[in-house]
Amino acid sequence: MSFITCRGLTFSYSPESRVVINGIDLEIEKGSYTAVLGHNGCGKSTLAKLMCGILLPTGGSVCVGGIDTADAERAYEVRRKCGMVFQNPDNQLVASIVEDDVAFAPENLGLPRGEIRRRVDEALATVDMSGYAKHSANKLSGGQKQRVAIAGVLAMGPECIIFDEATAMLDPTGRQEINAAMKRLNREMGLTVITITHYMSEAVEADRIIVMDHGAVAADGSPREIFSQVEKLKAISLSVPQVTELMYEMELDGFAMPRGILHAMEAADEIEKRAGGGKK
Amino acid sequence: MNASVNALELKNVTVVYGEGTPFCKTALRGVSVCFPEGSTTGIIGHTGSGKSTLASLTNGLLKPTKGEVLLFGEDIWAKPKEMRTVRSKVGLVFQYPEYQLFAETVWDDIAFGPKNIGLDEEEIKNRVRDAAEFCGITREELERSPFELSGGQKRRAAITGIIAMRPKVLVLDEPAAGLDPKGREEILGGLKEYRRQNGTTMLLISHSMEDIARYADRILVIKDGEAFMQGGLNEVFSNAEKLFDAALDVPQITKLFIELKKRGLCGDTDVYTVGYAKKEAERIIGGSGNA
Repeated sequence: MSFITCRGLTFSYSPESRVVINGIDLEIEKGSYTAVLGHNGCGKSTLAKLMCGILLPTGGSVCVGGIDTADAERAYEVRRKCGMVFQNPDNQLVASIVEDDVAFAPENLGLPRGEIRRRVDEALATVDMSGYAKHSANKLSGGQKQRVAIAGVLAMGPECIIFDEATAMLDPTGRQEINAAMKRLNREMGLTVITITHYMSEAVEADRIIVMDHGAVAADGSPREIFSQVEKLKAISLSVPQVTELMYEMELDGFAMPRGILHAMEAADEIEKRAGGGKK
Repeated sequence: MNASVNALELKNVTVVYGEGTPFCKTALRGVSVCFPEGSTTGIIGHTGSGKSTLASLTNGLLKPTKGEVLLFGEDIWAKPKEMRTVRSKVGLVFQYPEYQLFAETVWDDIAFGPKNIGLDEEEIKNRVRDAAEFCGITREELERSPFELSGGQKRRAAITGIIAMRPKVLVLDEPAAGLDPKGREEILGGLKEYRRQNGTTMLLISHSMEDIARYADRILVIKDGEAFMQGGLNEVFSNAEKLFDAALDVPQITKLFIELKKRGLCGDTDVYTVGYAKKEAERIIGGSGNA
């Protein structure tokens, strides 16, 4: 079942400026895990903001869980269904204490006290931050701050979370923490997850990759399908994981290496299989 | 000058923020490190490890609580009044330098530094033109407002402003963060070429092990404010376990060769780039592709 449906979606920031999103037709399945790739300025972030109703289409439509985002009366319903986590950990926390920050949204929904408490505790437990409930939010590491930001979105009880380069400013450990959280939200809690990223290692974790170029969808498929098309990705200034590139380069040299290898272990298996066998 | 001259050296440097207050925090603890002239050192470390503090020490923005910062052998704090000279020798590019663009045109922005150190018109023109050419800023872009440029172009314009100062030491704090692979390649590749032609010493702070492997020749690992490891790419990346300890990583291609070594297929794990990995992998399989 489709959770987000874009039909002929077009967007430009003002009537005079260029078209950023150019007639996209797209369906995001409920409970799926999708990565969106594309070079700077290809329209990824704009698409994300259109998908959760922060921006409204200038042409075509976006439906989130059956609600048209352009329907002003139901705007809050859309926001509740679909939350977003942004890039900079320092400018999306609003309160000074971790649990106050997570409680901000449910308080605004006017929920009873007990329900707020339950949601905050549950959300912090999900991102493994229960031990920090009473801590000062500005003393946390980048990865911890981002996890609190995720908890803040979870406390709204969303069906979908969009991550807009949520790991771009984090160190390798912070990145791993957030990726683990994304996986858990999707696999264990059945949330629809969309992640916009420049890190190929993150994109390979998703079930589906959408590649954008000039405001349109340039490729759409499983990570293996997408990363098999090394030339095409390079043509639109994207890279592939290092081992994928290695296999591709060896193939150019006349070695019969398979395409779409994504992980170091798989690559090791392929090389071991052929060790000493020479060029085939 | 012999080859082993250190452009920059930190001697037993400690930095304490907010000393004597309840928020007292030791950001760097007894760090001693050398940056040989003409080298590019990749500086890696987890968030909050002290990398950016180290960057601010290099051109005297921050005074060490203890220890010395030596620029070509001279303590930069010996004559605080001459700090301007230090600042024109050490160019510091902060994180997200594009937020610091301010002038009406890209040209004015790049010319701001050279003007401030009192160069004559002709020299300023030369420097702006040279620096712009290096960083791939076109004539047309020089006339535009920096705020009309794309993110990647803005980043390049901001770095151009530092290069126009012709620093002897260039310190870059995450110059490629948030850029797509092509943007990264343009900026880092351009800087590498600049160093090759000018012999500039570079310090490159990055979270990307792949970028460090490609553009640096030495590595300094900072962990909890201390110099945890330092040396050539080889010495540092071959200690994968120790890096994992410091909440860091090795490039994916290095992981592959650590695995191949475990399986007894090769002896070396000092593989960090795809080009070299290809040679090694083809050697393991046998029958070179180019034969």
